[in-house]
Amino acid sequence: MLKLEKVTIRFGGLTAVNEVDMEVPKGSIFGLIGPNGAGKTTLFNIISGVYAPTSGRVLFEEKEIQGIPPYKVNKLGIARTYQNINLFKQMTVLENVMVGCHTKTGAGLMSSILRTRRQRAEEKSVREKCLDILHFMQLDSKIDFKSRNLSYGEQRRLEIARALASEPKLLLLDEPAAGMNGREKEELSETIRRINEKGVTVLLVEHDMKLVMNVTHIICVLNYGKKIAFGEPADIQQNQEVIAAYLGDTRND
Amino acid sequence: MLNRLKEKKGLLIALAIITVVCGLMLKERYLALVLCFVCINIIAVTGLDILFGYTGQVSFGHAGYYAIGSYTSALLTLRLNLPPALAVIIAGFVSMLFGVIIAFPAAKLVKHFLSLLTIAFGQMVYIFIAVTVPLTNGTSGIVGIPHISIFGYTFSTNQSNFFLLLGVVILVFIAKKRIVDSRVGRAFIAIRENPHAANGMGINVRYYKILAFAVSAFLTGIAGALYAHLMGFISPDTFTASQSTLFMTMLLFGGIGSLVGPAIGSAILVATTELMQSFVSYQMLIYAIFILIVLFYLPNGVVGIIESLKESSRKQHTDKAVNNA
Ligand SMILES: Nc1ncnc2c1ncn2[C@@H]1O[C@H](COP(=O)(O)OP(=O)(O)OP(=O)(O)O)[C@@H](O)[C@H]1O
Ligand SMILES: [Mg+2]
Repeated sequence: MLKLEKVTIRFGGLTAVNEVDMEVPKGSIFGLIGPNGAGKTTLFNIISGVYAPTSGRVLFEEKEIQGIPPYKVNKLGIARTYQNINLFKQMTVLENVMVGCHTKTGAGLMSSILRTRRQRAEEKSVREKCLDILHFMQLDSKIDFKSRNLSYGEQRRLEIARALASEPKLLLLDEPAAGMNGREKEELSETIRRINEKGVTVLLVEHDMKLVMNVTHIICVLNYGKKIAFGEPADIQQNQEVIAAYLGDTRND
Repeated sequence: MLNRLKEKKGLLIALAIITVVCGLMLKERYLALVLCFVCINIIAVTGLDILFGYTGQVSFGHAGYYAIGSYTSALLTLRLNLPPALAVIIAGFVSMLFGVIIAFPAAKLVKHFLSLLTIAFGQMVYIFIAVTVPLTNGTSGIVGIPHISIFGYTFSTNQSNFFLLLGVVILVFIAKKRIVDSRVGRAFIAIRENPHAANGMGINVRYYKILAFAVSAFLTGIAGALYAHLMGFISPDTFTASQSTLFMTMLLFGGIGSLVGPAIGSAILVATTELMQSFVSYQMLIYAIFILIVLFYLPNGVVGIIESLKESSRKQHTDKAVNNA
């Protein structure tokens, strides 16, 4: 489904991602882990179009997508959440999710001013769809809250809800469990599994090893921008190089 | 359903205000003229609000669109003998075209660079109309601009113009509310709130910024055209940088990103300007005082106070409910 070929990006002298090859199989929950600064978020930014790689190719469903702007990547079927929560703070929870439907809808300026029948029907179906998603993400009770007034865990769930609204084929989750308590994390594992069961391929960046080992099918490990290991969770846990990378990492959070 | 109800309630309040005002006006020709100014400013400031309040793109050059609307409509009626009502609409589209032209470079800029570009635009328009004598008659201005007439009825008195302008204001309000509550409006607000995330959610940020500039310039251009036909006379003096500042002050004082903010801001500032007629040279100082009030006491304008009052009463309500339970 998603394939990276020798993807490299340099910021000045720093090579944040270094010749990474990776293939995310359709229908999987794919884990991307590594110590702080390993280049995980940068790789997400490359896949979602925020950065164009210095070299290498990114293929999504056999099509090259490197260098395509984010809004077009979203339309192709890749949605993401952000490590440093990027919600529309003054908008309500429902409105945030409705923005997520942008590429799946088409009403323009004139049809909105004239409130054409088609525009009204679209608005209605968008609203219903978003209410369903919010129900699925257990945010029903917060629909009219401004998103900035949500708790940390709720904001992370809203990020997922907003991403789901674009009906992605591939969902990129950047540390969705950060700042969550134990119970919230367990619910999150369950949610990720259920999203996956609906046919969405998930690429997950997460520092919580228990969650990662629990929920993912395959894991890729990055260190200093390089891929150092790849395999099933059980194998990764035994991998000497991975253990060394984590133990040797003095920049722990 | 709830939305419908709200809309109707707003309409009723508006009607009530109109009736009261009518009674007052019939005696006072001067008051009618002041109310006409208020309406024109509401339209112009609503244009600015779409761009700045909703999409988060600052503009200190809206007097430019106001001028383009004014001069286009004046020239179309005087030189080409177009009916004023048609000329006003064309003027809106011409202004819109300039909005789009400015938007192409502007959509790439943020913060002070965007401020500078919009200031430069306002200045360019001002200088153009002041020096291009063959077209605009330069600093002496254009006289004898006809009143608007529709179906043979000419809006020649201040009262009749007020009703005309009020009608336009209501149309503008409805259009604005519909835009804001739509996919397009959500895209505008998303760009204001977080352009990176908006882009990530599939919104073509550049396209929607250009669209916001277009709508904004259209409305402010229409306001300018209506001004020309109301006054019958225009000159560059009306379209200086301080006019841009005045629009911005009205918006900030009334409250950005709301339906009634521009109305409140326009009403208060027009009234103040009229009351201070004898201190015309202190005008900018007065605007500055309004800006200072906003900066220190009213970060969200007058609308902000209303909102926070509503919120606290709602809180009291829920607190009571909790206590009762
Ligand atoms: N725009 C940028 N310009 C310069 N350096 C950058 C930029 N973006 C990322 N980097 C650098 O690239 C490296 C990888 O950062 P990245 O955020 O991808 O790490 P990460 O694996 O997501 O870490 P964490 O687990 O802390 O989120 C870091 O050294 C970072 O400072
Ligand atoms: Mg990261």
